[in-house]
Amino acid sequence: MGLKKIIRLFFGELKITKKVGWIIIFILFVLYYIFFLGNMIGAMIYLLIYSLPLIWLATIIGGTIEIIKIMKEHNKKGG
Amino acid sequence: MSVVSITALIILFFLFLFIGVKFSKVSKPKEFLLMGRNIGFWLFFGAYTGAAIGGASTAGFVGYGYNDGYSSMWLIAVSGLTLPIFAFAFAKKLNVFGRINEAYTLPDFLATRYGEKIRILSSFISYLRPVFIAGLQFVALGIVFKVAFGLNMKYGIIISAVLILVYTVTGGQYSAITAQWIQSILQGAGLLIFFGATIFYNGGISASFSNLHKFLSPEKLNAYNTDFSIFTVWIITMGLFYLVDPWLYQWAYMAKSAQTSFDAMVAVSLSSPWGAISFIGGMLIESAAKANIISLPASIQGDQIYLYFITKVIHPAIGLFLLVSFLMTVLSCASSFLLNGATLMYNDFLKKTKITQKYDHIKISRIAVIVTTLFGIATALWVPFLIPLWIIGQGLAVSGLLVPVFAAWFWKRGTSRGAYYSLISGLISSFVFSLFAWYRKGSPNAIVGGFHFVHIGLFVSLIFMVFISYIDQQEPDEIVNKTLWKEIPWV
Repeated sequence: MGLKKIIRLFFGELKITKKVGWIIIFILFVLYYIFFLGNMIGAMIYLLIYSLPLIWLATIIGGTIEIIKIMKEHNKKGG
Repeated sequence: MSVVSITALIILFFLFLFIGVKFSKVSKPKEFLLMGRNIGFWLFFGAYTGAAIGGASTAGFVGYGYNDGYSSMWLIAVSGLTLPIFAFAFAKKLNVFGRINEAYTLPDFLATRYGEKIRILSSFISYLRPVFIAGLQFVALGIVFKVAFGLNMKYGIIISAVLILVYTVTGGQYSAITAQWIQSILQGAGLLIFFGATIFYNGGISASFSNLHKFLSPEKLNAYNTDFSIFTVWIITMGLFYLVDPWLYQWAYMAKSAQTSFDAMVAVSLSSPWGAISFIGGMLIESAAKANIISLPASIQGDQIYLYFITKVIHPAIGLFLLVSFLMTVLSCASSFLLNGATLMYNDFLKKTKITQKYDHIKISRIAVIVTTLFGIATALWVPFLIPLWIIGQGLAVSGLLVPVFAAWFWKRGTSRGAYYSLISGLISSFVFSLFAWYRKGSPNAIVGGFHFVHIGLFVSLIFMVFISYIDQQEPDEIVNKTLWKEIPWV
């Protein structure tokens, strides 16, 4: 079973749509600035420690799928 | 510790080299320098975050947090706000413009609108920044090699530059972006562990919060504790600058579609929270030190705190991982700016010379990478005051480029002559004022009489643009419309 299939098996079924992704990013972004502009350092620490690992994980999953795709395309082109 | 970390670095280097070799067979410069205009969302997001956060943004921002507190976070908060503006206004249109006009660089955009005369000067200004930033990253790597392995700094600089050169010159942007993505993953893990460690030393999240209030002065916990003049400088150099950042223009050209360019540009504003870790981490180190939980040397400088913390304070095994991740942070930034510099050199200088009769364009692109790396090494080894020069370089870019670029986007009445003199006058006036500030206050970045050099440069540049454009005759619509915002399609 390829890496892509394993990733799809675990994460593909979650069906996180693009719209939900954007809502999450928007909420994070707004909270980040509210906590900064409101001098709410404690809340900022909570936000960073809980949200950034999720973003980090999403970057790993999404990037892995894309790199595999690009490598395959590159091989097909004879690169 | 040295043996394990050197082994880890060798393994990573061979991984990057493998990627470089894997992508080495490319047939067109746009594949080598722009990754074939084919970067997807996640790769863009990861690689950009990796490249945007460099050595200075980690070690330097920890120092800012330690010395100046919460208000220093404006530095990244401003850029975090600018990126969505850039995304909504320009990301899609630039991607489309790049495809229609085969554009590689920001000077391509200016030359399309104002003619070839403006290319060399705008490219020279754009080129300074990546070279200085690459030089700064080489210096940072040299320092790490010295601190961690006791290696002479000169050798550290040369070794690190050669390591980056080897995998960027083979696979170009393909290997640089892929490696940056891997580096950003390690960098992100390192930042999270660093942040967790600073919280751990303060006794947990709740205790961190109470320690900050107990041991730090109220001014350091206040986001508004900053001088207005300095704040406007941040708005211009860390905010407005991104609207005319040659590096950002290249990212927009590289995205695989206009929609990807937009999506990724909005998402990368989240690199701002990643940067926030360094600032708050610096504040937490200060509170832990003042609570006598950890000890720091009395004479330690702000930008040395991060390296001291990861090499001397925390557990060696974790410190080892953080050291490797810090190296990845620096590598990703250096490789991205080297490729940006190489693209400018190939597209705006070498492509126009007779060298094209002798070598094919991929070879010339590779020569551009090598030459840019050599410039980076030279600045790292021999140019003193590299940080002030980088500040001047970034300030000159915004002073000279902002008005002509915005006029090309939005002002039909702007003329080529107006843009050319706007660029020159902005550069000269800001450069002269920066030297004056350096002489008077010891730093080119200093405020003199309530003004920073970018205030002066932008004002003069605007006056010249408007005045000369109104003297000249309006230029034909078929030229003006090529870069006019409302005329460039969204997809």
